[in-house]
Amino acid sequence: MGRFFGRGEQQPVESAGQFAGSLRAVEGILAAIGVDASAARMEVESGFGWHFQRGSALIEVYLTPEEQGYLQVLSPIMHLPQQHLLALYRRLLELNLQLTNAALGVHEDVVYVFHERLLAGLDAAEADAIIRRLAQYADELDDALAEEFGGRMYGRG
Amino acid sequence: MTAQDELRQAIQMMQNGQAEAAANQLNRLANSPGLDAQARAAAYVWLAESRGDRDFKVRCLERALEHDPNNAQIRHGLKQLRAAPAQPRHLPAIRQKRESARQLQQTPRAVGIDGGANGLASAAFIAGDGLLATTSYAVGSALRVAVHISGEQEVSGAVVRRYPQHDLALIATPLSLARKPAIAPPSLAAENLSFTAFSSTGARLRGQLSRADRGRSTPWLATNIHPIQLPDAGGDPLYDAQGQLIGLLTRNSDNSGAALAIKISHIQALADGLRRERQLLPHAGYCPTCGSLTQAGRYGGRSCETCGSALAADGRGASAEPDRDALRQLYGESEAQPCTHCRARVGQYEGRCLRCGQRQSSRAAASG
Repeated sequence: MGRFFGRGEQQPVESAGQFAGSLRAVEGILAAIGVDASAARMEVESGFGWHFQRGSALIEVYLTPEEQGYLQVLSPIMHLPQQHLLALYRRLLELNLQLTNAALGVHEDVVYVFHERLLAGLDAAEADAIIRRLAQYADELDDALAEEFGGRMYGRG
Repeated sequence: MTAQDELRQAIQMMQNGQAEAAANQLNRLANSPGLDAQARAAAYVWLAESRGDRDFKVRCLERALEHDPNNAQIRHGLKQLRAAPAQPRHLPAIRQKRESARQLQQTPRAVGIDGGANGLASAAFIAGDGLLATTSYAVGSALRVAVHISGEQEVSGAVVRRYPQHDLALIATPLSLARKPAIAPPSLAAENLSFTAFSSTGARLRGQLSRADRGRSTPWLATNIHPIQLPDAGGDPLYDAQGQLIGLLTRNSDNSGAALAIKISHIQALADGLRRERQLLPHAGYCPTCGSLTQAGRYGGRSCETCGSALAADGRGASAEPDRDALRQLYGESEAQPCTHCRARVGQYEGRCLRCGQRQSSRAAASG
């Protein structure tokens, strides 16, 4: 998968040097939370991406070069079921209101829990908190939603 | 306007209580070549709602089934109608219920509603069978409310239908009225008409209609009262000088900040619509989230077919095994053609599958 959500046709405004600095910062943050950044690295259309397991949740991290640089952290929860979509979509919107600094969304038939913030000011402690929170949400929601609505959990068959 | 648009318009008219005009249009559309078979079936289903007698409904649903033979909902409705005994002029069950219901010799101008979403509110009887009208805002998602008749008397009322878009809620009570409430004719709601708003708190507000829509298209009456003057959560009935009910005051306001009232003619049309819904769907439940009637529980479904919210456990059907065919129809997930991309049959919006969001390929659809 490439960069998760684009921002239209905006051009990168960070200089190459600034973005390289951001890249080093993210890799430093991943190392600080126990992730081997080079092993976790994946190919993306623009910017950089990493994926790793945190508990039962698959975490994907993207660094996007637009504007001042964004960090996107997301976790796929389940594949959309073939039925009961009205009820599922409503439940996702209700759950959205209960999440802190995270949102539920749908991308290419998969339900994700998602967080995004500007890179500026991000440190390892906050990145760790973001990733832990998303992993916890994903872990709590995947079984419950798949059981209620019959969708297949992400990455399981 | 396409035939499909005309069908939507006719359904809207039926929902607004314009049964005769809607029936004329539906009759014409049911034979229109501009509609496909499923839409013609829908026209017959709505035509069935235009009259109360069972034989007419049976004939309409039979015609609907001819056009849409795989429609489980129509088949089920027809089965229910055929199984029901022919209706006598007065239903014994209703008569018995009315006899056992407490009868009020005098119709109170306003009653109190407690236990709703926004504190104490007012309501008015709109029919002799004890049906009350108040605002949707006052009731919220409550299933039952306490109805205070005159200070000391209190009965439990069941919220039977809510129309959030019209800010109206209808409440059934175990009461009947010795005399029908006096209702003002629609033509009376004229500009500068003086009224008195009665609150269950005992407060009375005198005011005038500041602007009245002479047409029947809007359900609202503008008043010269500001919502802040209301002593409760709304639903205060407005009476003219002759003591005739002309509307219910709400906490909604127009651009000038003046409180809007719901016209009594509109309330009665919606109440008539509810009675028709109840005749056609006698076993339907009530969804407190969106206020509509729901059949999902009857078929073992767990969520309302209108809003998707989870139904309370006691609102679900007793049957352990969901009727999957009926639920697919109910949830609109019985598209004849599966999505050309993901094969789901969950329906489309603006040509895109509701599941995968992909635009449907006409070539694949034609060959599939």
